Amino acid sequence: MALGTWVDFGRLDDLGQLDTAAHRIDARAKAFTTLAFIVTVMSFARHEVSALTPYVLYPITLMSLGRIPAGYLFRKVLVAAPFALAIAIFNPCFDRQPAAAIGTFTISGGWLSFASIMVRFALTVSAALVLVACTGMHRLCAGLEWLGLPRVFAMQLLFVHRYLFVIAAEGARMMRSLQLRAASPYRLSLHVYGALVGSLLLRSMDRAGRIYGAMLARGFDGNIRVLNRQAWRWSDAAFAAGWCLFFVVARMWNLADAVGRLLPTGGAS
Amino acid sequence: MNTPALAVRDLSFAYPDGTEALRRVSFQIPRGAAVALVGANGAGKSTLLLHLNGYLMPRHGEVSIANTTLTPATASIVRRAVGMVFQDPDDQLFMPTVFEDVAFGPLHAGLPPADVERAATDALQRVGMLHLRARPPHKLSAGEKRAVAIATALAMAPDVLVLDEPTSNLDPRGRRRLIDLLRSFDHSRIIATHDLELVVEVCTHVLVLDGGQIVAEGPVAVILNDEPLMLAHGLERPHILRHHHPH
Repeated sequence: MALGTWVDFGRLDDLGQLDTAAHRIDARAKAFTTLAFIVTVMSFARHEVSALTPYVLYPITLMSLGRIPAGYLFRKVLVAAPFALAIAIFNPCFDRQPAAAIGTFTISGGWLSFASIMVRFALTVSAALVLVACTGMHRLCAGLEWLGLPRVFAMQLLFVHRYLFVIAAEGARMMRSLQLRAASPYRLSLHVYGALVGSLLLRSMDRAGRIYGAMLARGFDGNIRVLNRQAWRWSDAAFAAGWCLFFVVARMWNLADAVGRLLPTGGAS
Repeated sequence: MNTPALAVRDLSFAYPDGTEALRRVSFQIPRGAAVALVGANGAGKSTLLLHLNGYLMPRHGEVSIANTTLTPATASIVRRAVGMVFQDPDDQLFMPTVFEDVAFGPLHAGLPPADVERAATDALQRVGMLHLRARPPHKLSAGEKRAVAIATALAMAPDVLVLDEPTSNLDPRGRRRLIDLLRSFDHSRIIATHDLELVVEVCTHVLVLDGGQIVAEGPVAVILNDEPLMLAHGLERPHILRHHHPH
């Protein structure tokens, strides 16, 4: 299934099991820092683009420490891009006031806010994906719960993640049987697709019931328990504090602008 | 008298659509015995197994493990005593790594971390799968998945092991390994299966289920050799009992 290969959620789980410097950082420290990152990035004014660029350091650092392949992450961000595009695409139509100029070329406020939304989207989505890839969903949910996320939400997150694989596997099997029997699965009527989706729902529910049964059979009582819960170390605190300090500094001063001024040919804006 | 490891008395069950799946089923499993549950498709085997650890709660009749009668209040105690191995290992293995999956039961039983590690390691060693401890379960072969699924049950140190079609989808070598493994256990075992040769090799007693009722029970050699009985309930006399020659 092309989309399945493209999305490939299973790889995210495999990456979460690696043992690297990034994976060894406490899940709580990473979750807290990523949350601070997202809040800071979203707090910028709507036309801001250049001040956001230093923030790319956070996902890139975590990605290289965690040995997360950049190409894989890029594809994942692309999968989600249409959603951000749908939100940002009308900005250039509604806001045509000139807001910046590069030489004789004038850029409208709409295009700036469009760029700003897309940059924020790329930053926050890649940071969240790197967080999952460097932590693993199970540890991440336990960490979030420890940070104060109500247990019911942590459980929902864990189960959504778990059953995503279940539904994807059921869907892939159904598509395969469809492809085996239909001359062209893309020319089937809406009626057939309706039946397929209904059947997928019922099959997934059955399977989810069986998995839940297996969890109950082994004593699951609604509490997430993690073996080897990481002990909080000074390096975890330093990781969170260091990055938060960087986020605050980059929020107060436009670092990209400052670096630009330092360069001999800089200072154009 | 020795208390049976598992006793089912007068158990009846009907699905919400009215289909009667079990009708007044009664039997006992002596401690340490391996008992086969055989019957045609739809005979009620899986429904019966789901009652043994409280996934389905008995509404008519009762199930007791050692001296504990299964009720909603005792379900957690009973689940620790009954190790369940499902027909499809993909339903059973849900954690990101083999080790975490095997450790799930002991961890949720509230054991201290050192004991959880030991229980999971011992169980994986028991089924010969310790070398796969860091692998994601969905990437294993069918035989490996089955062995790990059994380890998840063993790690809880159950009194009774309940296995649903343990040899389905296994290649001959995987099946042979599994049969040897099942023979090596000293737990009380109840094995629902269509693999009658496995029954001959592993079990001492057999229960024949048809239409939700136990229609025959007794020693394996007696029941499985009774050709009219076997044919009448959608089964057949196994090949291994027909010809006593080495293959």
